[in-house]
Amino acid sequence: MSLLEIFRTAFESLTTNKLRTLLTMLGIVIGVAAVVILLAMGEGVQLYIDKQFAGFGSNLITITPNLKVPDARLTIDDSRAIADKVNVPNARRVVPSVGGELKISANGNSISRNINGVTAENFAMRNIGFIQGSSFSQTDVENHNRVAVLGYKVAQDLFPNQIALGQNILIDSLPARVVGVTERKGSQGPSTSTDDMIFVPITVAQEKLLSNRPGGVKSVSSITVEADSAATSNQAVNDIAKTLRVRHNLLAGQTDDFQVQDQASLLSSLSSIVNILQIFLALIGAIALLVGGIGIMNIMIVNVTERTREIGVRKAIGADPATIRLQFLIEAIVVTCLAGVLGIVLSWLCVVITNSVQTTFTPVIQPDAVALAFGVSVFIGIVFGLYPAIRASNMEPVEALRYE
Amino acid sequence: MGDNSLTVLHGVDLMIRAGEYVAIIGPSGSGKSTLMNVIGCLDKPTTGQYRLNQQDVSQLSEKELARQRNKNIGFVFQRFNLLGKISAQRNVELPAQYAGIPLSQRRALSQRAMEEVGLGDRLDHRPLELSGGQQQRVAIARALVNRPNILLADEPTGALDSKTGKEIMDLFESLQVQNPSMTIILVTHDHDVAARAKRVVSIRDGLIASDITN
Ligand SMILES: Nc1ncnc2c1ncn2[C@@H]1O[C@H](COP(=O)(O)OP(=O)(O)OP(=O)(O)O)[C@@H](O)[C@H]1O
Ligand SMILES: [Mg+2]
Repeated sequence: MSLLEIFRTAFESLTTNKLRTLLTMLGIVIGVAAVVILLAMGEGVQLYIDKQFAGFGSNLITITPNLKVPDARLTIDDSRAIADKVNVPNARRVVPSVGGELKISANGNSISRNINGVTAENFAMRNIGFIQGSSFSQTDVENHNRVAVLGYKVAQDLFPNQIALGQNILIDSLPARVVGVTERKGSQGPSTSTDDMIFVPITVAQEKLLSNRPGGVKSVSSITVEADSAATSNQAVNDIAKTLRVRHNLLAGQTDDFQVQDQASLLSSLSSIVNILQIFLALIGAIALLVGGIGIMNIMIVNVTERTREIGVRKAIGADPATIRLQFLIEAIVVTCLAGVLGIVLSWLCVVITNSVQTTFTPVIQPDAVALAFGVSVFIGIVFGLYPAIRASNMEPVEALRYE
Repeated sequence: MGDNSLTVLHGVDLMIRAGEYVAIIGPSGSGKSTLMNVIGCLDKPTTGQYRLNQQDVSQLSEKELARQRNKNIGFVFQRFNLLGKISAQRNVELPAQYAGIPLSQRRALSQRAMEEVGLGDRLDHRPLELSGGQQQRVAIARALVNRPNILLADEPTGALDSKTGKEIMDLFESLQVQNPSMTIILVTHDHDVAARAKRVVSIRDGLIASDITN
């Protein structure tokens, strides 16, 4: 029998046994798709976390009032104390900030945005660059000058197709002059991107713009400290806590009325969570592959009886063993490879759809995962597809015909 | 299968010439099917020799045995042994396909064989859509499609009523009239069926009890 005829027979067998063909394929499609999708998601999470932290320096320490303690507040004097090298020797820069949402209008446009009152060092500390103008100066801060730095998008919203630098804007009802526009940072996850912010001297924010804050005029929303290096950040955290406890007259045993959080430890604990997540996803993928594999085996083994008798019949009417084995091999290869490809297409579709409905999280298909899942499924499919053929083609035809 | 070894046929000495019409009779379990399977090259004797056209079958390779079954022997089974998922005509076509006959030619051959057994209008039916007698006739058409020299039929009328059984027997005999060198060997319980054969071999407990040529 020619190869063409054997192919013809294999296809006839696959198309006349649609249910069997479909069930075999289902196991492989699910196995392959599950592994590929899960590992693509794991990679997506990793990328997401990396992107979140790429914007910040890893040696930043953030101090906020502890909301669980009534009347907890931080002040500009706390900030000065931390900046004092005697108290916190490892603090390179200290930036207090005051924030709130206010209406901004200019050029006939009116929008509502996050106003950030900061000191001039804020921009250098956070690696914020400028596409127009520059940061306001420390003199601007000390002199309560009404100047503003616009985030990339804010500038676009207020002054589409115009130079924002040098223009006058109204923050609430306070006029201010634009001295700089920040360069584009893109999405920074759940926290507001600098693209959507407006920066003003902290003195202006405290006294003019956000003067009705619950903590009073001298209070600040948070203080950000940049440590000399990631290595000294832990020492700095301890020094900051000690300084603030003394300043706030806290007795031993009294809880802190502030919170100190450093990025380095946050990043490392997040990374280990992501690692665990990836191992977990790989494990689920392995289980999906196993379940798919068992599904394939089951349907193949259930078919052994039927197929053994079929082989008996074929041998009795003149098929030689080699022809039978080749027919079964082709059947197994065609059905498993087709299913493997379908599984890959399915996972690819899922990833494409996920990426088209949202942009925060980007699953990425891993070639290794594709190869592994495809290889394992196809291997199982071929082995168990060939199993009855190899066994039955070695039997006497009478034995195969009698098999049940 | 299994570990129970059982001697089914003992010292059977039987010679059948080309063109003979032989009926094998005997009680159930006497070894008729076993003998037929040996003659049809589906099974091998554990001891002794079976010579087909002067050739010791035990010397033949699997591939040569398959060729013998395909070209020289047409086997009609006690249980029809049709493939259930494909059409009657495709079932009949299979031996021709394994013989390497091209598609259009084997379509014509299988159609002719189906017409010979009176099922020219049932080509596309699947075996389970046919009656027992019709399935048996499909099996006969399959046995005939490659024009074998030896037609073996294990109780071909066992599952049929006497009228259909008679028709099948008429068919066998007309085939031999067309091709006098064709050998027919059939197993039966039915003495009326056996009486039509020129030679009747009777088997009992794996031994030849009588061998009568009329
Ligand atoms: N696969 C087998 N394993 C063990 N014993 C078997 C097997 N096949 C047949 N036998 C035994 O061989 C003997 C002959 O069986 P065989 O099928 O040849 O009988 P038979 O004459 O065709 O009977 P029937 O008229 O019922 O078809 C029986 O005793 C049976 O039990
Ligand atoms: Mg029998």
